[in-house]
Amino acid sequence: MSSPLRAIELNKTFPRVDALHSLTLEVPEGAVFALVGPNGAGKTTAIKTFLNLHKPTSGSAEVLGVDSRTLGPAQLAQIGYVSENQKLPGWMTAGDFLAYCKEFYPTWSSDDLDALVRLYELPLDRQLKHLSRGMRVKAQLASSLAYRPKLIVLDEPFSGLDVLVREQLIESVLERTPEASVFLASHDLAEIESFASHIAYLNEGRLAFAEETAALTARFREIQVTLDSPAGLPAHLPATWLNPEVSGVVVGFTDSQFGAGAQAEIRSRFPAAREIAARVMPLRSIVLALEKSARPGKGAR
Amino acid sequence: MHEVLAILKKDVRRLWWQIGAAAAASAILGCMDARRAMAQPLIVEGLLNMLLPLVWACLIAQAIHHEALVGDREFWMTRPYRWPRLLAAKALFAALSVHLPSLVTDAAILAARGYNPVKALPQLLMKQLLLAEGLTLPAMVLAALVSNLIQFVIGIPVLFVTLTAALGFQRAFPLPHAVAHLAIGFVAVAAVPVALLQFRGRRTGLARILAASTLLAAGLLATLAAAQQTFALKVDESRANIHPAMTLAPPDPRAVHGSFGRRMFTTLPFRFPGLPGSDEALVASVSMDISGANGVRYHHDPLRMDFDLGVSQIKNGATTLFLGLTHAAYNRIKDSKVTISGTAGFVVYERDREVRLPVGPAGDVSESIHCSSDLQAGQYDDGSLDVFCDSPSRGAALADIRIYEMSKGVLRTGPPAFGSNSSPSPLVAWLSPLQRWQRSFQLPSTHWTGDELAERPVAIVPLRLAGYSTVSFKATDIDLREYTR
Repeated sequence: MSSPLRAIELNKTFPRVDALHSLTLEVPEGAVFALVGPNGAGKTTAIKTFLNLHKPTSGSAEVLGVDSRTLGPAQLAQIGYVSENQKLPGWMTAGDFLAYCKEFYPTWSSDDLDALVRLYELPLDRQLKHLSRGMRVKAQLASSLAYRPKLIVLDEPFSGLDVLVREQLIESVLERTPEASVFLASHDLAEIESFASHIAYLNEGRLAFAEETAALTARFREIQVTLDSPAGLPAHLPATWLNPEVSGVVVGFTDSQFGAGAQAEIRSRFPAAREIAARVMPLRSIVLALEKSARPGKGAR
Repeated sequence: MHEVLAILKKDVRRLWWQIGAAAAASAILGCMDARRAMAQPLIVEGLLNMLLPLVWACLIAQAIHHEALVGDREFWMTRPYRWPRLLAAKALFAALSVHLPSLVTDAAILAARGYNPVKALPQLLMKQLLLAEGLTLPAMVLAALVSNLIQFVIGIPVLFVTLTAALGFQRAFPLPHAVAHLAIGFVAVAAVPVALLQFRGRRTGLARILAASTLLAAGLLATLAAAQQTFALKVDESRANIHPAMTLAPPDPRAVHGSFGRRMFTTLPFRFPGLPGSDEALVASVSMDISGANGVRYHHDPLRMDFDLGVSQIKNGATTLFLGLTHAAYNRIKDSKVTISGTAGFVVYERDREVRLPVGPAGDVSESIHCSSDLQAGQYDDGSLDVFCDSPSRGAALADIRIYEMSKGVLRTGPPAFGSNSSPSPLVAWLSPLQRWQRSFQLPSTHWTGDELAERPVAIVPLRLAGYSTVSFKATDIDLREYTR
């Protein structure tokens, strides 16, 4: 299976800012790949580098089989890009904007566009600058989906939108998969957890992890061990147990490699355990645990 | 072509009223130009001449900024635009919104002034080429290097310089063209890689450095290039077979010279053996060295800046150069025999047959020169005759304007009427397709009877550009005091 988007040791440095450090990731074909991380993590820089809006300082990125530095009209005709901070020709009406975009795509489907316009209830006669933020994103998305792109790149497209609009937009993007692959940057973890097939976490330009969502949520568990009597933490806990804490008779930690032998391992470390509870963690909690463990003095053990 | 037209259509839709306003301003300017029967434009026409290029430049900038090349947030950058088509669309926009209205206006002005625009098409197209070189191309490049109209407006003075270099300002004299054309040609050639860098790869930093270096180099070229060297290019280009000699003539006892302010002015009459008697020439550049036997040496360019047809015209194979030395310099050199040497570049015109016109509306002097005249009554039983000529041949045609006094049986060139706007050198407003001359003659009323007016008193000799030439000269054992007595 070929990858529509791949980064190999990608570095991007701006004057006084190292935006990306050795970013290596691969988006599988047909995947909904979410790049998550806090504001300023380097998500937008990564996307702009993939789309040749920025040149990499070192390393490389491949988009639809082509080096990002040589990305041209042939590849851009197969990429749908929607960003929250893109400058649109505000003077154009939504209808004119869509008609104008049509001229550049040989695979443009007017039927698809009509369906999207109906679905989004786009007011075609209103100028883009007079549309609400939600409507502007809808217009952008309609103009990026009507030619059935092979790769859909979304940079924080849904932030600030109400739940219904967000669901509507997510729905229409997911309809394009698996024929199209989706690469999405977001800082809203709850939002992407429901539909991303793959998740990568970027913080201060460094990739913490990149894997399938199911595998990620399967390997993380919030563990709570209730002891018979208060006791300290045993020495030499596994490094995959993050943020261990003791509160009275309860010991809590995040197991980042929870598997078949996990219960036995915990029992061997806590022979006096009265009860062991392993709770499934939402993505938000997983990321919080990772961030907490990465802080100086609280490193993973 | 499909994409080119889509981008063009979008730009025209967005800017239609600005395009219309610019076209209307061009038409108004054209009407003023066509009606003007004087060399100097009036203030409104002069202002429009400066304002319209500004409007055109801003139009071009706005069209370029619809797909701004600076920054990383423009929607078009992630759409499958092909840069040659984007560039072609913007160039086509400039052609339609600037060059087409300008060309149509120029043609209308010529038609209104009695010229055949089709026959003058080469001159009209050459003017559009100069407009492109001086305005359209620099405006496109400047707009491609900045991210908004405010930044563009800051760069407008640069465009005024390039436009002046390309089209000249007021004077259609050959020398400024020789130097300035070289510099603006350099700018135009260098603008191409700058535009390609931006449109093809959006290499803004590199493109800005290249553009700034180009302007600096062009400025240095225009400032430092010796007039003789740049004039030599004109000589090579013209391939005219004109090789006169240049010799210093004996002092002219009627010459005006002497001490004026801080300088001692010396009148040096020169002759040009070998220049056909029917030819006239404008001295365009002179470089002169004066060295005394006592080792003192001066380098002087007396006519480099302030030359005029009346001053520097070679008539009947002779001209006069005015040498201005400071008193200190003159005193150091005056007591020894000096050697005067140097080179001169000049533009040679062939004299055509004289044409006599009656006083009144425009008459054809030649295919490329039309003249008219107007008798003005004075306050004290006197009057003046204003003679006005125009031509679409920039720098390639001149007219020697004189009037014939039947009572005396002589042709005369003066005296100029008091307070008149005489301009024996051709003047060209920036955007005008015509160059114009004007001479006003003071007339004692007693000499101008109805009979005389009926006798075609306006005598015009058309002068046609024959070519360019340079000549070296050297005169030894010269006593400067003889030329200042």
